[in-house]
Amino acid sequence: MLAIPPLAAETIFHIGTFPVFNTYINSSIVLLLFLTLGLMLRKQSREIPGALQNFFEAILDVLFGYMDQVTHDRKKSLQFLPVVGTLFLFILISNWIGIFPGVGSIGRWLPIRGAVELVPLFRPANTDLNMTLAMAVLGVALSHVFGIAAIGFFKYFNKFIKVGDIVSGFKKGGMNIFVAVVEFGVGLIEIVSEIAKLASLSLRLFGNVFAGEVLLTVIAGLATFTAYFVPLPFLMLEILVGLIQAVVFAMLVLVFLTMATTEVAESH
Amino acid sequence: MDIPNFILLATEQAAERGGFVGVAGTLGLNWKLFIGQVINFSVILLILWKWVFRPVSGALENRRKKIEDSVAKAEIIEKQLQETTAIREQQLRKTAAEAETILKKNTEAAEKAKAELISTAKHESEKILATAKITIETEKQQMLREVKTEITDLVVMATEKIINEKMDEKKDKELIREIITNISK
Repeated sequence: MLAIPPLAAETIFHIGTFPVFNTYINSSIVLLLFLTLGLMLRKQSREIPGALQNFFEAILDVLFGYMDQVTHDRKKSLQFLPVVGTLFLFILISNWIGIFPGVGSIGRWLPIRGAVELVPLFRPANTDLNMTLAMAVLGVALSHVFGIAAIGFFKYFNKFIKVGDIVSGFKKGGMNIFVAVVEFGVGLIEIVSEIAKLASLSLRLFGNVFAGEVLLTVIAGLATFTAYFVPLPFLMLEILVGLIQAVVFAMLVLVFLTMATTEVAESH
Repeated sequence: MDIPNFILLATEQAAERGGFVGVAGTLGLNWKLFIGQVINFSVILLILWKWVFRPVSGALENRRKKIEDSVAKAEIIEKQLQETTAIREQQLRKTAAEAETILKKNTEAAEKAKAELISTAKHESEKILATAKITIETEKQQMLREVKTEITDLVVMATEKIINEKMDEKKDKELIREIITNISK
């Protein structure tokens, strides 16, 4: 009987003093996959696509279609595609790798909590809050970088600390001062919402994928006979969840990117 | 194992491995792992950015632009072709009309020239004919006159020879005079 995976990723072995976690092994495998793909596509001629490039262009076409619906601007879609596309592909592939046989079942017997337990060698990368938080932090940070690049540092800074509003409010005088003070408060709330973005993005993905992993383990371990055909629909469900979570994460980051690069309409 | 105990154990374990304590630790947050995953994801992002998304989307975009340009060009060419055809037809029609007028003009001019030539020739021939008639007439008169004088001389000579012996000067002269007057009558 398989043990329900703990919330935290487990250390498999150490390289020097650096602990190697099972989720880190998985994200490295995905990294190698993408490295191979990148090296293969890099050598291809661009104008007349080969089979692999054709396949990729088909994927990109679909991605562009969805992205244009959010950005309403092909130029922005082109600009954000690397970030959003990488997030989507990485989450999708690492989620689907989690369904592979061997992931979660091949492991080392290590002493944990006073007992010797099977610690899986491979654990889906997104069942680790560190991974999802890393992606969320990078995504949100990139949205700020793109935002500053698109509308200028001062204007972007004014979205959060609304110095400009205060100055123009005092120039106009009267009610405008009061409005500016309220706007300033709203700007401060924006800063809080940035942190909330990180929390919601990372916890949503982590929770869904981790829950899926737990669900599969529970179903497989319910009874002896449930280890054979009963998990199949749940595996299909996990394929679906993996795709949906990848889409949700990528789309949300795309929305953040789009919002960050859009200038705020001047308040009166 | 009860839940609080489990959490406590997990937290202790996390703290041991350089992680956080409290809720973050329970969820498995760990600085070392976090930085490792950030690096991993950044590398993936860079690889896909540099080698996959930029070139492939660039190729896609280039092809799209190329097709757009080609379609626009094809439209321009189509339009130009139509214009050229229209111009050519118009010109052909114009040329045909011009040719017709020129032909008409030429025919008219030729007919006129022909008529003129004919009339001139007629005139000339008439003139020549008239001159010829006059010449013939004058020559005829002159000939007649010459013949007359010749005949007179002959008659005189003959008469002289015949009459010479039988007539004197006086009679002779009278006779001659008579004859001449008769003749000139």
